[in-house]
Amino acid sequence: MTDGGGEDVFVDDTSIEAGDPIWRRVSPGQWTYNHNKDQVQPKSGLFQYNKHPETGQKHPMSITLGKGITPAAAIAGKQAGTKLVGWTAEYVRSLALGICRHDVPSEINHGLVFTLATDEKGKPKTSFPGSVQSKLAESAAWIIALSADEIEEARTRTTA
Amino acid sequence: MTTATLTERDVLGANAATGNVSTFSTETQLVEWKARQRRAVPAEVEYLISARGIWTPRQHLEPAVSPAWFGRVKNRLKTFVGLPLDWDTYGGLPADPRVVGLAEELIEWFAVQGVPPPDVFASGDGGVQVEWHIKGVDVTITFSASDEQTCIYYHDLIDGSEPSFGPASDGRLRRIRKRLLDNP
Repeated sequence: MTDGGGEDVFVDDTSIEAGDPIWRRVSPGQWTYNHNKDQVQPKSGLFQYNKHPETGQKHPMSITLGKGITPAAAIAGKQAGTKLVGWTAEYVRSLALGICRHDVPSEINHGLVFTLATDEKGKPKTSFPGSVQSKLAESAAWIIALSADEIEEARTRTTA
Repeated sequence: MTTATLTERDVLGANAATGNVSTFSTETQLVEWKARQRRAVPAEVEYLISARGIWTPRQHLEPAVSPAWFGRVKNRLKTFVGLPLDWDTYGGLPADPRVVGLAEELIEWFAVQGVPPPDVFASGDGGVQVEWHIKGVDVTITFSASDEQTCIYYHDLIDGSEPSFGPASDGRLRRIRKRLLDNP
């Protein structure tokens, strides 16, 4: 999607309902122990725009629209130990983020999450602020959960 | 020590045409740092984030005993360079060794007795992320492999202040280390 100036413009898709699940994969080891909340959570850097390695262009965060599919389907074909975290669409929108569908042949129910914030010239921003990353990490529900050993490893790794 | 004004962009070899000048190691910061060094008490650990990394002058560093965790964290950092393409299932790149080196230097500065170990991660763009969620503070330091500034997210859960997010600076790093040394 582009506007007349060639800039990507993403529009929140209201057909994605408030209670619909929004999922993001977590590759092995990409979680940390939050001693302040006594919980294990994905690293906050997991929740950010990506940068195309060749063009350098930023694009919104990839997600899986979980409605109508199983968690197992969302990680099918990915490396062993891949986990899945999620939120409701309502929660994601409460952080001033938008959600849209974005078909990718190799990805089931692929979608994008993008910021609704704009810069001083009215152009869409292309990153999530640290507070949004932090909230997504802290509030993420484990759809495919960690084992007790994985949780303990994360806890001890961050303890002197 | 040579104190040429280089930017983080120079270190990371990013595209000079599009890169932003980092707040790291500007002339202003250098002047401010020198002023602080003159005022510093002997036991205080002072440092400078320069284009060549984190530099600590030869001062008495009695409190700066590296805890056992530093070797462990350093080893984990080094593995990021050898990550395969698409290691995160979202097209992630292996970490840039120059960014890993920069992160290692900063973490070594944090590695004093009383500071808990950070968790370290590769980021999809070839950068490195350092996190603490302990002692009532949430800290994330993000080193990008591109032309973006190194940023810090800091939230003190105990003093009730609002979270802050912005470019890494001398003052912010000193505040974080002091806070991590506290034992609330």
